[in-house]
Amino acid sequence: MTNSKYTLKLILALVAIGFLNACDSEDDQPKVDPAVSSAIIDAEVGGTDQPNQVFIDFSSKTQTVVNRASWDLGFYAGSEFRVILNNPASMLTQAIDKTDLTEVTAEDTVGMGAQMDIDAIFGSLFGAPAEWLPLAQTWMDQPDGSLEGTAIAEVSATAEQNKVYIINRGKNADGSGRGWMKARFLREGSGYKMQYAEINSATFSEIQINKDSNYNFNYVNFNQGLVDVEPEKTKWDICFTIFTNLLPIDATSKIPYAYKDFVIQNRANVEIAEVAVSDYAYEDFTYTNSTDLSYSSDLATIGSEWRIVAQPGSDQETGVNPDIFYVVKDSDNNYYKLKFTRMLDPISGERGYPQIQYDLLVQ
Amino acid sequence: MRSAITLIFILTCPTIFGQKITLRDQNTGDLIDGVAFMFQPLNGAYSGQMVSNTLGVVELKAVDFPIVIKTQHVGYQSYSDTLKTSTDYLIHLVPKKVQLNDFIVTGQFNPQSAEQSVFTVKVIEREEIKARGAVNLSEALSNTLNIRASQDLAIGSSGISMQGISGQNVKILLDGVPLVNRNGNGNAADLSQINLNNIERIEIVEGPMAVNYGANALAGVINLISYKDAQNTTEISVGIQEETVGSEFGPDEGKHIQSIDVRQQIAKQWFGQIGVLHNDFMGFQGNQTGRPKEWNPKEQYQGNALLRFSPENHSIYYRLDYLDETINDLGKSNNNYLPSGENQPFAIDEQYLTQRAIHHIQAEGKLPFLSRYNAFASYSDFERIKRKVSKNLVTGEEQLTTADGDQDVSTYNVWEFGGAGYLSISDKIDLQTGYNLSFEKVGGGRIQEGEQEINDLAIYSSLEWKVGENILVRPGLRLASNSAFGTQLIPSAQIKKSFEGNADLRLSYGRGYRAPSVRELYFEFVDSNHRIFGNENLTPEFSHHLSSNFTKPYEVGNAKSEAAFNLFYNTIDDQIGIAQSASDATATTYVNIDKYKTLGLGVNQKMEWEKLTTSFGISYVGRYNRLDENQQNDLNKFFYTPELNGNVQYDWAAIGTKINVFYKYTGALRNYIFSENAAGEQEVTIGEVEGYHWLDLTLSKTFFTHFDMVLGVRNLLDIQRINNSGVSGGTHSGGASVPVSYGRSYFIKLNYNLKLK
Repeated sequence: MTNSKYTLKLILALVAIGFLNACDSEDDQPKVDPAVSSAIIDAEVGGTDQPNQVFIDFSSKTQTVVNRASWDLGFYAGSEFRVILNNPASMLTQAIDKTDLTEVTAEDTVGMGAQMDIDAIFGSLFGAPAEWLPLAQTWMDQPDGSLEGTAIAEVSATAEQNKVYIINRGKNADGSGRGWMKARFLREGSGYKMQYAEINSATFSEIQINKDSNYNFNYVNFNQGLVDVEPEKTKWDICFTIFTNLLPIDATSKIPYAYKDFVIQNRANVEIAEVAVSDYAYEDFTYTNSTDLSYSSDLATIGSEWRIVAQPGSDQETGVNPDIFYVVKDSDNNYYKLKFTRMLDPISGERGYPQIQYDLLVQ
Repeated sequence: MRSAITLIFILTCPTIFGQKITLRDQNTGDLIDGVAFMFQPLNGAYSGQMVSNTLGVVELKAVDFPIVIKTQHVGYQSYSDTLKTSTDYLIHLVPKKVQLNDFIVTGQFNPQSAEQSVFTVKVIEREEIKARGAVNLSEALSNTLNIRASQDLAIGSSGISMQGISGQNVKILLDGVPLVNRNGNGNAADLSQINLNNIERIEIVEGPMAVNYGANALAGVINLISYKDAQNTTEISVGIQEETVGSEFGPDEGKHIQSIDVRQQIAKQWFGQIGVLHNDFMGFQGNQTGRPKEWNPKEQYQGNALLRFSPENHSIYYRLDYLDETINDLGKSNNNYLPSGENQPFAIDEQYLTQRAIHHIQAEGKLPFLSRYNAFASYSDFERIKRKVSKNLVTGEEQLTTADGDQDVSTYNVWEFGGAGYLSISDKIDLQTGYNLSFEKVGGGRIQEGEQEINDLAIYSSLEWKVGENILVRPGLRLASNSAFGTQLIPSAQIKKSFEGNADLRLSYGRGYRAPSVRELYFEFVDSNHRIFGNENLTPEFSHHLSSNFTKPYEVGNAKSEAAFNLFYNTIDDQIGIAQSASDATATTYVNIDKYKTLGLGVNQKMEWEKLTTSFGISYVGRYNRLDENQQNDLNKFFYTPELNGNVQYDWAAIGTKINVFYKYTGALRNYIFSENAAGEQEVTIGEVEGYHWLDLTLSKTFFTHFDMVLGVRNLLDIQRINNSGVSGGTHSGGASVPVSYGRSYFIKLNYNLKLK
């Protein structure tokens, strides 16, 4: 009986303690990385809607901030005659079998509104399989940045071969549509000439674009004409942007899909290699180690690999990928180690506030 | 026609002293003494318990017939019946062979044993819940066939599918009333939010019980039956359960559960009960490091109280259930360098705070014009707050984050009213007619205008008709009118035929429907990559369900056995899926487009031999597989998943200990996926969620009269995650493994039970 009483007292005591022990457990003392002498840049991507493209130059530690809806087309300033679309705005285009803008009317665009639109393409995945879906990837520039993969064909020296393009100008940062245009691209001297108008217009405008070889591309906005976008080609290394990439959907289709928090690199002599933290710690990585790596000039070497986005039902947390950092070789053959330190704003928790840390590797 | 029992009316006049019930052995005719005999008048008057004397007789005095009776004896099968007329009875008891068959109520006209029911009803008794050390519904169902569990680590919830149909179509009821949760009124419930401390038993009916319980029960109904009575004047139970979480245990790790429950006969017609439970799961660090945990800590408080008043011919009770749950999801530390180079890391923490209160008032009894009635009103108030903060890990400062959807309050308020009357039209025909009104109000951040209402009014009727000696037929019909999608007429029909040797065949047809959820009707979500809208013009998903069940008791030597064979087929039309909006190509919405089918067969085998009780089951569930219409013709229409389960209990009398083993094999779940082959081409392949074995082992023992103890190992095979190769590429793929559990854990449960006559 005595044992029984002890057992009862024990149970009652434990139950009482259990009910009263309702306090939260204290935060474990977090491990805080020490202060660093590295260069730190808070890229001004602009928050949730990510309205900006941010071009970063490591050697001058500067960033150039450009609204991603401030331009439409980039005209290649090198030897080829190529035109790129504003990929961050998810612009799409296709040629029609006409060469005179004044002959193009809304009839030539029938059906395009429900197809040649980034949201319509995504929406079509939920319906019966759309026959046109495999074509969608031809309406955008190939995401590796190769000039051969642009949606607009090489501008021919023979004017009659340059067809009219119907262009969906994509979306503004707030998601609203930027409208539709028709345009035709021609060579003009050593540069370009563009004829353009709104779809139903009976007349058109013309603009001359000269090649300025200090830049990768020279940019045009349909409303404002020539505009400044990316800095001179030796004056930036990487760029934060929204990026319309190809997303594999099924056996037959990859579709254009806009990725947030994407990082592209300068096509002019910038090469980047990825390093696994399991091979080298960022702190211990020196110039000597940089020679073992394989470098890539693919526009999207970093891409979206640097970050993790929580998916419904998974226990992964949105933030930087802690398992990798990068080595960047710039156009002056400087080597930098680059680490993404954060993805979210430390107060509001919103996306579009990335921070990077980088150090010059002393040769 | 009795399934396991023969009952003979003794055609004598009732004696003035009351009614005599005589109990005899069915095989030998011997009188049986020591039979515990419980009775409950249908009018709800005070129930009683007696023990038969050496002449095998129980005498009832001043008892108001009809009564529901139940016997219990170690050597004989439990027997339940409704005795309608005030007269003497002779009851033949069948020597025990299979486990006790207790009363069930789900879908029944009168409480009766499961084997008498026209439906196939599975019962999980309190004893089994206790022997498992199960605290919540998720644990209690962990080895039930045809039920597959899933865990959502992101929001800490636990769901199920039944007969291969998703949890949106499984309706969970508390005493017949839908248990409201974040996603629905009874369906799509989070099982870990359903604690069982005041639950007497769980009744599971597979197949749509739409005539009685309305929408959202396409797959089936799980009805939790709470305690509403005690066998003694005072019963006090104090319990404590300490459990490791995987290998983690300590004051800030593991799982700590305490409970107190008091039941009291307050006065002759009054009974009261009050209970509290504290379930403190401290989370599981697992392979996470630093602040985050693989399984987030979850703390629950649950309280419930019941007051029952039983005047003559009636029984009225009020019950309150309350749940308070806090889930803390601590984020990882993110570096954040200030311009000075100083690091002030921060973390994004989430908290989910849930409160649920259910008020339920119910009356039952008899009226001059009805042989039985019941009526209830209930109000459920559910609120879940999602709170997200950023925390500076140096200064400790916390601030609410501001991204879209970070802060949210979901609410679900439901008024339910229902009732049914029962009439015996003749000896052969019983009629049930009832009504059901439900008023739901749902609120939350991504719901159009922040709040929406749905009302549903229904009447239903069914009858049980004894055709000849051996056949019971039960047709039913429900007419429902819903504010969001109009009027529905829902039929069902069941047949039960009894054969020689107590074998029973049951056939069931039911039409079921799932009402579009508020999210499907009124959802609104727009960001840079998504434009998703609800569709107010959705119609319900309709299903046809067909099933059959055959049970046959038999003997092998001394061992008493029962075998059961089950078949089911479900087909769901107009299943709601996401599709491109017809009016706006850039938007997606919910549309009635899909088709889904499931098909299954199963065999169950129970056996009892001396001190050993076993049951084994096999089931084979096929899920219809729809990839896209072009490719469909070349591919298998169904993928089959096997399931096996087994329960073994050995009563080791010499040391007063029961040994229990619970086992289940959940087979691989296969589906078609798109993947890239060696040549870099996309192709259709078969992916699968790996199968796994689940094994629990427990020992239960009573000591010092008042103490119960259970020692156990849960998940003995240490399953944590299973591989999932069934994921197509893309930004929204969930990952290559599926969480099942945090691994092998050990528990001890101690209970002190005081019973005062």
